Amino acid sequence: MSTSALRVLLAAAAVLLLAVACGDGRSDGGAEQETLVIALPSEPESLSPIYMDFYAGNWKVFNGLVDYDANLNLVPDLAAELPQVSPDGRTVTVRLRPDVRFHDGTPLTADDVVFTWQALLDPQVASPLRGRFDLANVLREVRALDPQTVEFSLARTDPAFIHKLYVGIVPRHLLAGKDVKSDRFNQEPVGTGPYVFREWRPGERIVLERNPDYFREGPRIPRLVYTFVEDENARAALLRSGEVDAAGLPPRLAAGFRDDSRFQVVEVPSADARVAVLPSEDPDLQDPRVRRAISLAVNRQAMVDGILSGAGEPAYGPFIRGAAPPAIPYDPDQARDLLRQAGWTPGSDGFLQRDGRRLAFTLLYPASDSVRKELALAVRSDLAAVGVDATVEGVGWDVIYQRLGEAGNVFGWGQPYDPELELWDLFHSSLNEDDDPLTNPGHLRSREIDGALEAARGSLDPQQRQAAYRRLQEALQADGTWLYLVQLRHVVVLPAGLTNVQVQTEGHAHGFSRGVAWNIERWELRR
Amino acid sequence: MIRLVAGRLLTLPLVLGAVAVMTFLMAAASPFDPIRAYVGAETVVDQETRDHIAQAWGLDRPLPEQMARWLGRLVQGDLGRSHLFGGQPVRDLLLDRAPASLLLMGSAMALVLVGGLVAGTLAAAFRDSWFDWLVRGASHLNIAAPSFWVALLALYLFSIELGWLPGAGMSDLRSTGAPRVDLEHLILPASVLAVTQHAWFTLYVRNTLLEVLREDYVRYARSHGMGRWRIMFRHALPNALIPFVTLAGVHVSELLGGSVLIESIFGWPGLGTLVRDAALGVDLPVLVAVTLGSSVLVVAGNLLADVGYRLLDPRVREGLP
Repeated sequence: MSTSALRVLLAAAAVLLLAVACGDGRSDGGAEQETLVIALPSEPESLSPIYMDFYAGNWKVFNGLVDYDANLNLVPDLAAELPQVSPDGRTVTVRLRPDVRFHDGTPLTADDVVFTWQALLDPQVASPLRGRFDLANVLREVRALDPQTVEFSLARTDPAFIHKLYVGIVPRHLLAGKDVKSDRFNQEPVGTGPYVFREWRPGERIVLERNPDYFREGPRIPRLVYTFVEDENARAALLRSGEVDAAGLPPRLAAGFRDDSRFQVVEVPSADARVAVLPSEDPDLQDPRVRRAISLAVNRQAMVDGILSGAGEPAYGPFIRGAAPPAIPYDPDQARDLLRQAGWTPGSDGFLQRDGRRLAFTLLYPASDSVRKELALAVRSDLAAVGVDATVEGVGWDVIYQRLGEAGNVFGWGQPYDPELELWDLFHSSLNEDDDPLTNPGHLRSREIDGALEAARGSLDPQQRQAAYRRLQEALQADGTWLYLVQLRHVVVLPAGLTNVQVQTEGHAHGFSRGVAWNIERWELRR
Repeated sequence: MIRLVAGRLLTLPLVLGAVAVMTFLMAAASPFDPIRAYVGAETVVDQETRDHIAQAWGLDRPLPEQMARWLGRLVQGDLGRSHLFGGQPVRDLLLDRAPASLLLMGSAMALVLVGGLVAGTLAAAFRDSWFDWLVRGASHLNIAAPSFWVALLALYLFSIELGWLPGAGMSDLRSTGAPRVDLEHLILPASVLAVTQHAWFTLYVRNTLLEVLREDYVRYARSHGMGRWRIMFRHALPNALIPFVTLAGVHVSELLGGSVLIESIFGWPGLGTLVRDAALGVDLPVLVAVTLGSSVLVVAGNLLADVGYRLLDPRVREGLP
């Protein structure tokens, strides 16, 4: 009696489970053919270009005054032609296309451009771009000359200014007189772009739909759905189950999709480098011979082949178009020689010593990043082979900010646009007095580096600027605090039936970003 | 009874006040930098911009002042605005997310209660049988297994290998029309949350029942020829259930904590992911509001448990020892 009662109960439970499991699978609505579902690793906090990352650029709701083509040449977007820069470099004039309308039907005019740029400049608006673009020191005034023409007056020459005009233009009539930083517009944006914002279900999805009145040829895919999945394994699982069509994955996870006929795996070239910034306060690393030896002792190609599964290149300096850094050989013997010249001799434990002290330092990495962890461990084992003892520690960003200087860290940086947009903040010695741990994180104090940065900033002549950046590359290598390791290729998994995908070199990014999606309005989807 | 409920409701503001102060103090002591979170990791920001951002959001004010301002607004029914989530009113953020969380937690709670009760009772009734071993083994394994691991395993098994259940969001991501919740989208996250939370419940039911079954009055009933199931349902279970009700009330907070990871893996748009992002970004208005909301839930859970306790146990009801 008793065991049979148990059996009956178990059978009932099994039937219930089956009933649930057999319930209708996925509803194949007509929308499926027309929708591309993209999984991002994180949800944006705002969709307004005033608060978005300059490099993200895959929200095709907005247009800037200028854009980049496949080869990263600057092309006019809302502008009728490329901005006119006056001979003294202090005045930039932009003429607008006459045929552009916002998604609510209002025509775009110079007032919208003026409003957007005044908002970026306004401290109360609290846009992160104000600091990144150094607008307080660069932009003196922006005004409309007529409804189709905008004039920017600059306080100093800025060779990168026309690149900054890439920022999306917001409609004045929806934001004037409002608190820009907390207006509903940040969640329900209205732009001029090829896609119209449809809905944002917080935590679940953002839906964009084709703009039928786009001022250029309209998008082919009628509907884009963005969802947010932080865990990379979960992203891979959802791609396999078919709930998601496209996502960025780490190289090793993406490798599993290469022989699956439902997908194509695309590698996006990037300027995104992984750099070990060595501890600037370590007395033993003050000797440039020691830093040079460390650079000679790391096997960058092995890191690309092993850790990145081939999706990357060795890196010897920051990515600068037209000023590539000279290669540094992998030469552990020369490294040992240099260390000996610096007075370090092998101790009984195999590590180098001087005056009874071991040559040792600590290298941190953000604990949540598996690739940086493996890179840090590779640095450790490569250095151990020449007698340098590097301790590796995975910690949170806030610990990194506090310990930087006393310890080194594996950073991710780089962007392929105008070098001026990033490099000054990373290397110039004037930022040492700054409280922010990420401005000049290596605490560089080099007259050569400063001089090269200033020469590149001060000139509008492309040739002079390239020469200055070549000097910068050499000075950075001579200094050696920034130990460039590898440059990534970002790996994206897409449906096999997607055509017209064309990659563009991108900057430091996470997941599915500008490098693959820059021409998403040209994509076609056949299932 | 009325006095109990009234007393609890009167102390609620005190509890909430203490929780709010604690949240502010802990946020102040935490090493996280709200301005860094605002501009994004590895984004360089100069000192002037930092100052402006802090000023625009009132983050440069001393903590007591931030707290006082917050309280002043709260009195007027305003929970403030989130500086991390594009300046949205905190009230809207919570109202957007709360229904999904309550649905997920409610379903998981129901599964935990029913499943734990059934499995625990059966395990106690068939003590040391293969079923008992199965229940105990599974429960212990369950306590040891991290919830995100169980979630990924379930996603792999039921979504990819078997293709039975979807694993992302509340409804088909390709669906158009008004937001809705599909039952089949609820099953995986609710079951995983229940599975990762049920273990000590099930074990608790089993062990309490075994204890009760050893009591004299049970032996007495059995010696009078009363059947096994009759003893179980008439005598043992009601007595074992009394502390069980209390535990269920307290368990609400455990569920809330457990749902954070589950929500982020299954893309469930509830409070869990909101809390995680708010905590990492030191978004104080959101953090305090969520903490207060969950405190209300826990206090309510405890109150319900106490009331249930009184209804079920005549000794407590009549104030007997």
